[in-house]
Amino acid sequence: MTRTPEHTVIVAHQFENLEQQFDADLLGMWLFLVTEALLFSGAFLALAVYYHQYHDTFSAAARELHWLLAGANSVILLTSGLAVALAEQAADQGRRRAALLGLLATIALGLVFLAIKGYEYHSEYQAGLMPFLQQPFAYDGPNPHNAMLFYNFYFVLTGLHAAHMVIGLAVLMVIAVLTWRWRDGARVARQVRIAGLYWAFVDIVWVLVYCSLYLVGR
Amino acid sequence: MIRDVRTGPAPRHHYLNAGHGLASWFLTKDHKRIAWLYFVSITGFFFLGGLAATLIRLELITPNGDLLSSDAYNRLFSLHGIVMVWFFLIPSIPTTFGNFLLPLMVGARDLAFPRLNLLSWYVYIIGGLFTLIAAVAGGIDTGWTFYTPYSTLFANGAVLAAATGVFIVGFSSILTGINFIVTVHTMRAPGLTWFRLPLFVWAQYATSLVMVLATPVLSVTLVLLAVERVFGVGIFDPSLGGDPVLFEHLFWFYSHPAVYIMILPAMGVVSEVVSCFAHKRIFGYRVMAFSILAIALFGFLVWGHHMFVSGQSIYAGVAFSLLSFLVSVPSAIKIFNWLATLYKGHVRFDAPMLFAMSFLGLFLIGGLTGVFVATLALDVQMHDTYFVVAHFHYIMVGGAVSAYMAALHFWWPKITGRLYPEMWARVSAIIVFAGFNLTFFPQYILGWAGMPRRYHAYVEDFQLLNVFSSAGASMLAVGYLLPLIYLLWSLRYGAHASANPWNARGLEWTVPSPPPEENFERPPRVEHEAYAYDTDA
Amino acid sequence: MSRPRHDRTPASATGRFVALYVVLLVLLAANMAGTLLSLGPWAIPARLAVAAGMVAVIATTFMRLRQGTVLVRLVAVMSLLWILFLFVLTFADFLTR
Ligand code: HEM
Ligand SMILES: [Cu+2]
Repeated sequence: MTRTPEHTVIVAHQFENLEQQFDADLLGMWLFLVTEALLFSGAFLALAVYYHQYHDTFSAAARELHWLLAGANSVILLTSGLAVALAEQAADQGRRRAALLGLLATIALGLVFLAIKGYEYHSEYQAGLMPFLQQPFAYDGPNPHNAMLFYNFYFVLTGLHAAHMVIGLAVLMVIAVLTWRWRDGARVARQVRIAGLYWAFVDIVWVLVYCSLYLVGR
Repeated sequence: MIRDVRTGPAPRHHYLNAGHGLASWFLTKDHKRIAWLYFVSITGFFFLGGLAATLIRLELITPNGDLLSSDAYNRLFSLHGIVMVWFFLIPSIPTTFGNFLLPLMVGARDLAFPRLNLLSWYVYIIGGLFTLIAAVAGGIDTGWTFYTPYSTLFANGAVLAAATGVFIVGFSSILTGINFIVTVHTMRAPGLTWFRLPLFVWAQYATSLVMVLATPVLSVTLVLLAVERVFGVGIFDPSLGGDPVLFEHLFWFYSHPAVYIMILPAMGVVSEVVSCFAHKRIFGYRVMAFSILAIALFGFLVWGHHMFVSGQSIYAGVAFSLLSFLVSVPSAIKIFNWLATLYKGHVRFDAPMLFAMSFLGLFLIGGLTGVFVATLALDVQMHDTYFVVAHFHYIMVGGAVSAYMAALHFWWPKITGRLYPEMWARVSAIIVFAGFNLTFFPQYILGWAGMPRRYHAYVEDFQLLNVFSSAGASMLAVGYLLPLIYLLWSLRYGAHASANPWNARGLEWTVPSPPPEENFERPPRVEHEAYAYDTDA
Repeated sequence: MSRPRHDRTPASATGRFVALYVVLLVLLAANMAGTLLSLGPWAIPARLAVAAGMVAVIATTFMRLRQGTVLVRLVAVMSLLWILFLFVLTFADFLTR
């Protein structure tokens, strides 16, 4: 799409008008989130099945996790969710600076989250709770084999979530650049809205990951 | 008919001559050209899968494993299954005819997301490359089902590469599905209400829903498989207390609906062809549309019928068995309605119709034997025998591939602007039908008599029927190679097709063959449904 | 002008966003504090329920499901329904073994 003066409405060639294009984009993103939700639900299902079978062992294993640190991390991620919601609102109203600020705050909070998560992984590695890649498994609670299953899920689920965070951050960085340039206000508002949906979804997944891994067993 | 309505002058400008050079194809965003990209690639995979099948059938001519070692045999049927399921049949009709026709049928200039459409082809190709790498790097012997713990803890071979290929191609399905759903919802031309849509569009829509809702679960299952195999992160590993049956649940939550990804588009094609060649409105249009949706929905509730002897609880088995019977209701409704459409019609037996009639007969047999294997007590005996192999080949090859061939001939004049040689096409249809039955009917008998699937050797009593089956397979090969020749021939020497060579209804026949780049000069206004055959000229 | 009217967020929405953000924090704190009580068999349902509440807040407010078109809301409900199919039928096996 070529550069145009502000307030010129550009519609992609396959659409009749901007409203149709917006509806299509929004529906497409929601459908994509449906696929993401089902993707995670497969992993959650497996966790639930094993929780049902090894309830006591899993609960004991869950108590070794840094639940307070991860709780603080939840606050950080929820805050980033607020920031991106405000950025969407600002972009919609044509307030470029505010939108950019919201996006940058979101990105910064997301990076902090990942850093804390990395610290968590590191301390679990040192405690010998990373039962793969030829690492010794130093868990000293009951039924260490079943407990190993719990840690495997812990790393898979949080890892899968972290991978989504990284994708989300990359998207937000691109969107931040586009917002900074602000070539076509309507388009930027649409892009911020769509990216914001994704970020909110990543938030939702974390709420569920946190609850099911850190809290349910306590 | 005195004047030949099938031929006409070629339009001066159309999508095929709208651009030249490699970039105009590999960077195109035109849904009609992307359909061609898919068309060429899935044809390649079809013949690759066919090559594996040929070797399998050659081995099975004799009871001893003399041509292939059991290890090589395992690798061949795994390759055959993976390629045919994920790289041919699942993308087949949606990505080619769906891509080409959906915008035309809803009266739009393109799909909602043209760039995404191109991306999904590239994703498909990357997935295909991984699978080819897996095949070259020693292949895999897990079967297309990748059951754990064999696939994660024991199998040697390129399991990771193959699983990665399937994982990647899943995203291609997902992107196509999203694109189609959004297109049907937001891009219909003025006046084109839901109940004026061709059943082909309904079928694509339902298929896309299944793609979007089922495929992600396969993706995560393959991720879990990969982390277990590569990093030793036990997930299904019994020595940690993991449960391989859980893998089967996750796998079949996708893979049973996946069989409907293959058959629903075929049903859409058959509705168009039957109605056109009977020259009658499709019987029970609304019921047909709702049955499509019902099949897509029920298809999600029956996966446990693949697990009757897996160690699944017997109560769940009973529930899954009963739910499976439910699926046959909307399927049977569709069969009856197609027959009712033919009743008292002026039926013409051109090649598309011959293929569609193959579909009707073979799908019926495949569906009925589906009810056999869905019966819990009977399946304990039938499971993992050739009876199951015959069942799903009747549906997937006899049903879905026949419908694909019907579509290929029906829309060939629209897509290429050329007529194919009718006589040869009829010959091909008849050879395929005869060859198919000769190949797969003996397998019902073999399975009933207890011949297990997935072995390269068998007891001598089974030889006669196996020889029949292999003979049929060679007929099938001829039947499928013929179109490759005469369709290529027609690209150059075929007569120019008119806009509507079949005297069909539907928006795609109102534009020239081949269509212009933008499909319609101005957005069409739709006044009636796609089957207005009664208002005849 | 940039988005269809139904999807717009007026300036007055800022307050609502912040208020619901606070609600989220309160729910999180409640869920964490809940682990200090001994709820017996109710512990797991209670924790999941609070988490579900948080999910609902994020979806309706931050993702604007409340203003969403019927279609978009249907899509969201559909995903829940399919997750339900997955869980219910799989547990039909594991609970009756
Ligand atoms: C409509 C399209 C259908 C297709 C494409 C299809 C395809 C397949 C495939 C590929 C398999 C074998 C999977 C494997 O073990 O590798 C299979 C097995 C089975 N099918 Fe179908 N099927 C269809 C319809 C049905 C229907 C309508 C029913 C029941 C009412 C049914 C019942 C079964 C059962 C119970 C099995 C498992 C048999 C066993 O492994 O013991 N199928 N089908
Ligand atoms: Cu099935």
